[in-house]
Amino acid sequence: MKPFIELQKIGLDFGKQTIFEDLNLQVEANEFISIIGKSGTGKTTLIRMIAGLLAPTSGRVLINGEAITEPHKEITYVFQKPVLLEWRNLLENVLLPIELERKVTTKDIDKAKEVLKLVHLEEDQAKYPHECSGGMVSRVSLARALITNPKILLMDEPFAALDSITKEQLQLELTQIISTYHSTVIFITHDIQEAVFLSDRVVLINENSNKVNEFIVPFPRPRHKDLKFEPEFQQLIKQIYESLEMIEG
Amino acid sequence: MKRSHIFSVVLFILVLAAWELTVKLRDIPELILPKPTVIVENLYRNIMSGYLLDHAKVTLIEILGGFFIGAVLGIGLGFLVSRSTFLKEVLHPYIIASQAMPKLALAPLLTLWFGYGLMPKIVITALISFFPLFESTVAGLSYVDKDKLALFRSLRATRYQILMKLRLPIALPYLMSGLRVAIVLSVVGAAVSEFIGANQGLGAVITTAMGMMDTPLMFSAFILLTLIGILFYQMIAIIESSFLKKYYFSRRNDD
Repeated sequence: MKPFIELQKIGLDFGKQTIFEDLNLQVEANEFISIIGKSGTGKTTLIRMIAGLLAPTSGRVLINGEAITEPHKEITYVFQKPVLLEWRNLLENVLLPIELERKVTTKDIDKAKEVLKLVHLEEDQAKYPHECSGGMVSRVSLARALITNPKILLMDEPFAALDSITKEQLQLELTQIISTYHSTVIFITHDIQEAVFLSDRVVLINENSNKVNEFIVPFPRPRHKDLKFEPEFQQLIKQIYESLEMIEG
Repeated sequence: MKRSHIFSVVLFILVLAAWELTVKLRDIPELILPKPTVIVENLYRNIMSGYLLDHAKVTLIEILGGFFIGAVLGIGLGFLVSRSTFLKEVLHPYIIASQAMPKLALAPLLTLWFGYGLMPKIVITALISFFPLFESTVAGLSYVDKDKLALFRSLRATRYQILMKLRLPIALPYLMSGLRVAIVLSVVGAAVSEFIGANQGLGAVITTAMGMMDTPLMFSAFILLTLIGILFYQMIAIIESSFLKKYYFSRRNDD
């Protein structure tokens, strides 16, 4: 069977600088994979290529066997910094993807309220972004990503700027949401614990990106927050940590 | 009423009182500096007789006509220029030059071309209000928030959607501040262009009063012009605060 998302021999140069060279990656449908690498390893660049916002110098990105050349309907990109429009209230922000595609119907508004409820913001739909905390803003950007029922969610360190308590809360919410939406997720992070907790598979990329280490995360879903204290969980984190140390060399 | 407001009013009364007293005690002639009470009396009498109001009407037509034309051209052209980097680069030196150009100094020339009627005044006023609006439209629409642009692109927004739903809302506060500057300048433009050659309008009243050595009347026309400026400025401020407030919200990245 063909993989749902396939990166074939991706190469990318910025002028004389080579960011990627012959990178291959396959992601199955409904899989949650995390990509880990130190900063400056081109994680964001990689996800931008999958999003169709950036064309690789060589190689192809295939979704369902079809090459990506521009932003794809089935893909939703959740940015590192949650970008909301300050002049729209939360509900209007969540409706933006629909509004850019077609006329908004009452059904869409119901759906927007539903996804806001999913991220526990049903009470706050009339608030404006400047009235919201960092955690709320991240939740809104997640809700906005969900309203289109995306088959693929690309998430670029979405929780990096949050305090650890809010972050754990959102990680839990994300696992629940993903199981309802059956999305395929590519998640970028530099937090190994976060990667292991959320993912089915953790992929390491190094500075040259021509070598990819992978770890299968065997823990069943749904996952509870106690999982983080299990010895197997800790063991896997240690393994990934050591592997990361090795490739950093 | 806020404490600061009360102090503002008190300050105003104090200045007027000091003025009145100084003129009275030092016996300054009315030709040089009339007393505030004399000015108020003059203003009241000339408004009641309809004299000032007729002239104010003419000035208002010039202000609004010029402002409207300047706004339409300024915003419209600003819109077009902001859409094309090439056009922006071509026009750049002209924009700088036209800003440095003292538009009011053109008034005699325009009087020569268009005569003594409303036309040259409206043209001057339009010219004067054109530039702040043109500039703020270009500045507002050229401002790019990279993150938001990436968001719109990832959502497959068209160029038109990016303009209407992203650039325009971001540009609105710039545009409104351009409008505020332009309306105040319009009042100046209309009044000063009336100095050059006019027999109607509050600017003409000032020059006529000067000829007749009627200093209180000069003050009256001056006060009326100031009030017109304040009125228009406030009107724009009210439009902003009642309809456009949300476009001024911003989320500082401080957390």
